[in-house]
Amino acid sequence: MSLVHASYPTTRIGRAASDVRIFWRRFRKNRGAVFGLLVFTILALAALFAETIAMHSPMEPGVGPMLTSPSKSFLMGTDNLGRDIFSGVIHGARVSLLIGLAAAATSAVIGAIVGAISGYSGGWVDDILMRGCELFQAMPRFLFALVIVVFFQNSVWNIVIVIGILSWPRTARMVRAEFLRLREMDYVLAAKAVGMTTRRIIFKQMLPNVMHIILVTGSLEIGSAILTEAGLSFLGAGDPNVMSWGRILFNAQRFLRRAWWFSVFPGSAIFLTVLSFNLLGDGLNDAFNPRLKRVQRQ
Amino acid sequence: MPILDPGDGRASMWTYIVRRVLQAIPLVLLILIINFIILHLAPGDPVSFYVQGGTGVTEEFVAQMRTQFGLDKPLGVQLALFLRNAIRGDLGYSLYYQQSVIAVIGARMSVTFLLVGCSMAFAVVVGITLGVLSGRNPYSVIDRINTIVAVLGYSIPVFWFGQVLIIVFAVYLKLLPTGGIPIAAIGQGGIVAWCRSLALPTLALGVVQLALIARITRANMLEILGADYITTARAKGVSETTITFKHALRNAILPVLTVIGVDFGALLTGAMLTETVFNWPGLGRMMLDSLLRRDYPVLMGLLIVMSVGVVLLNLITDLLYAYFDPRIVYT
Repeated sequence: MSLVHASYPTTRIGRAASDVRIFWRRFRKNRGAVFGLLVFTILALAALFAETIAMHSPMEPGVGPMLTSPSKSFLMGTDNLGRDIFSGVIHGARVSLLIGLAAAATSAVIGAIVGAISGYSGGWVDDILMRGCELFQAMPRFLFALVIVVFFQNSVWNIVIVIGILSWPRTARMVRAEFLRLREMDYVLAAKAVGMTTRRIIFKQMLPNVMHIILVTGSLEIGSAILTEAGLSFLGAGDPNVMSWGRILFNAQRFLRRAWWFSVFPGSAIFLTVLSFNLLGDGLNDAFNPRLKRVQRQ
Repeated sequence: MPILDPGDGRASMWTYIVRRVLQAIPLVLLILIINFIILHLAPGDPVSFYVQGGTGVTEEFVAQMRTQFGLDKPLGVQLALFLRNAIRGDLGYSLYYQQSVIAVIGARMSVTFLLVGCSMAFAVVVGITLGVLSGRNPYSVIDRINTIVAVLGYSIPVFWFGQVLIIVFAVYLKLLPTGGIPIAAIGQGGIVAWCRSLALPTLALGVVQLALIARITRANMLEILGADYITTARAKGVSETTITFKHALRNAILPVLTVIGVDFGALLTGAMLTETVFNWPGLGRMMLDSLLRRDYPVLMGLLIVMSVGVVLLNLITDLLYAYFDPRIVYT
């Protein structure tokens, strides 16, 4: 059945609403993606209303006895300093989401610009930018992030910038490939013919047409940024002023024998969050281009 | 299919190989330079960190040590010296270990390689088996399991998975040790103890690669089993086993090489986190320790060994790919 009906709306707003409906119909078919969206919604709510939901401050020691198992008053138990783990997990959602979204946005912006310029220009510009891409892909990303964060500053924003700067090549490659195809299209030729500036052609005419690719890679990047931050915090290199999931796991490492809840709950939170963004990415991909192959993971 | 002129094909493959090797050299050099710059931009220097807290340390002593290690020279000169020495295979001297960096890294390398090697072997064997089984029987139970493993494997944090394995298998079921040094285990309980202490770290680190390999093998098997030459083989009466293993798997297995090459960096990262969880004295742990005590020469050496390892492995995969698949066009 064709997705475009004879009754396809003719007004602009009507068309947009209809596109959203079509998109949603395709997206809904992917059960994993709907699950991802659900988890994301819950997380976003937890992050927004952390102060209301969490009963204690995540950093405050001695709100309960040390290392008690989950109970009514401490849903996820307490840690070695008597801090409430449930509060830590709820507040951790804020840190993880913030870092995941901001780092993915940074890498998407860099990746889109590099990919667009590279694909549109071709020739030596393309060569240089793609060599840069290879360089960034060859460097062990996590180790570099670790070194920079430990040596310079381990604030949340510094972590965001470091992860963003180290993870743009995937987006750049995807955008470049699409630009190589688009630049031969009639509308681009037409734009050139009417004397539009290159900058305008790239950013106003072509970039909107690769938005779906940026969104899909972006949502996969959110997952990997959250994993990277959790890893950094797990090694003790996270922001010391906030309670993140990785940091709780770092603290839990010495108490695995005595307190399973110390590790199981915050770890499940990371796992579910990353899983939800990966599923969401797959779902977006299916909904945007139902006939095309999936975005490569590497 | 056109028959390739063997002479011509081989010649172009060799040009390809030489070109790939030549491309890797500037990449390695650039990585060395970036490593050097990052470490030297960092606040604080190794000497002041080394003498910190020591009694009776005079200004002259610090200055003398700076001169001794060439830290008083301009950055450009230091970089040139460093590159010259690195090319000769001399990565410097660690103040903390009182040993050359090469010796320090070499001693720990085997532990990390053991972990990485075992995990890779585990991922390849189980991943390909899962991939073949589910590629042959799409939408069966085993295929469902494969899909679930793949989705979970992508999302699970390696270090947390390690912790969960410890909680389940070591603390509650009391089946396996929480880790410990595998080399020491040989002396105590022989090969069984050795395997037991390797089991959990291998599983923890291997699962991500397993997920990737299983998924790629499945996709390739599905595609290849639908190809015309497989139908021809079936029509000729070739057994299903022969078709699966001789005709299909040989072609399906190639992309697995790429996964191993591309993901080597991720594997090293995972190894570092796994070593922390299971308390293994490998390169990962050393990296963390060196970071905290600002042991720049060792850090630099580690970054170099790891980055060069990634570049080399990528190169080797590309070359193997070219060797195994004569259809690749070298442009």
